[in-house]
Amino acid sequence: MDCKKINSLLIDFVDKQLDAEQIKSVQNHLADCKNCRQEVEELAIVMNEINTIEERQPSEKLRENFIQMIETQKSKSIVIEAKPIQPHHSDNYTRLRFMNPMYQVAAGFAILISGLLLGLLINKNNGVNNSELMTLQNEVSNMKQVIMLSKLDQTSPSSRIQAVGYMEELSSPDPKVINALISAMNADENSNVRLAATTALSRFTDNEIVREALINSLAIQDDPMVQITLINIMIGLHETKASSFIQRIANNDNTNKSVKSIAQKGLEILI
Amino acid sequence: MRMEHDEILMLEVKNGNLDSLVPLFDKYHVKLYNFFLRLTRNRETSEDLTQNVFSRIIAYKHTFDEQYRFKTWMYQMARNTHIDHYHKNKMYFSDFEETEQTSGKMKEAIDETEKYEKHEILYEALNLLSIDEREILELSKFQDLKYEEISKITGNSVGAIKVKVHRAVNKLRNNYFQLA
Repeated sequence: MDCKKINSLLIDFVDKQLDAEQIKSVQNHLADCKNCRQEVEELAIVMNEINTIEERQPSEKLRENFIQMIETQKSKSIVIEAKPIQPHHSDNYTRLRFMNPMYQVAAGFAILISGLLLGLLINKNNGVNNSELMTLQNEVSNMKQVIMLSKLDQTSPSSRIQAVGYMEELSSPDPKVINALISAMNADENSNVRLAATTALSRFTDNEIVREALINSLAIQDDPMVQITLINIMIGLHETKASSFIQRIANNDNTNKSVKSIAQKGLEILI
Repeated sequence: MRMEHDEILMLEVKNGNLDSLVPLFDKYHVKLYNFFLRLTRNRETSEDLTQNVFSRIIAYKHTFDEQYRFKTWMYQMARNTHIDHYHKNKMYFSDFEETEQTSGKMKEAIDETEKYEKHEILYEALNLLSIDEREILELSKFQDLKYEEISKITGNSVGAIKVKVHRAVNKLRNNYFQLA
């Protein structure tokens, strides 16, 4: 090869970026060409200078300012979250909130029952038995479930996430709630709602239906955060039935790189 | 099991958890600071620009694409931050010729920053290069990014990047041995 062709390889030669064949042809050329040898020596010196340059430390102020910026940004985002009624969909939101008949009925019921409960508590000495109280408490919690279920149909993602959050707190949710959470996990258009529903369901893995749904959901989720959450749940449960689904995620070319590596780590644990 | 990958942390930031940016800051801020320091030769400016990169990351977090490496995306932000800064300063010095401007600025910077004894010749050789040449050397040689990554950052083809790197390295080599 002539000097010109070799010359274009010299930098990568010094940086050890060439393959064996290229190295050989450069070495052959260098044996005969004094000019190129000289050039390689010079390049090696400059590259060595670059590689041995020491990093300088910024002042403490840089990190302090950064942390302060994060805190400021965080308080800003809280303010935004506290006002979910954004101008562009405020009409929709208020209309839904006050015109939804389910809401009105539910709210009325809730007030009625809490009034009754209060009365019962005050008149506890008057021989009201415990089972009646229990029945009423159950009714209140049922009412709460109905309210949450209707909330899950709302247009704003933040109120859907809120509804999911309430459902997560229930100690023993009934099948209706479980189904609502499963369909939110699999079918909600917003990935944050899907993620919240997935996390909520991970609390109810004693329920066979929930477990089954979480495993099957691995096949349909494409959001990296939801995928990672699901894989981590499966690892926590040592759910070997999930391994074929996780394998498919690990093998899929479209899978996010980080998800892939977690899927592979997960498989090592599960198999 | 918790993974500390850059991309997962950045996805958390994208989803609104700004605390996840702290480990990314700790990992990269010294590298970024030195990136700007070699380009501007001014410590205070370099700290400001480093901070700007992280403000940009927050402002543009929704555009983070999980198909890309966080590092590549971050250097794209760093490059844009530097370009903005450079254009602002260039307007400020617009009466000067390009070369006069750099050498004048360099003298000032050397007075202000501490002397770079060990690598002084290298720094002087670098300063004789154009800002584009210094930037391409910074990305490929000082920050060790691959040609493919630089191609994503700058929007140039891999072939064009290779040619630019070669030209810049050879110019640097010539400058270095003229000064040495």
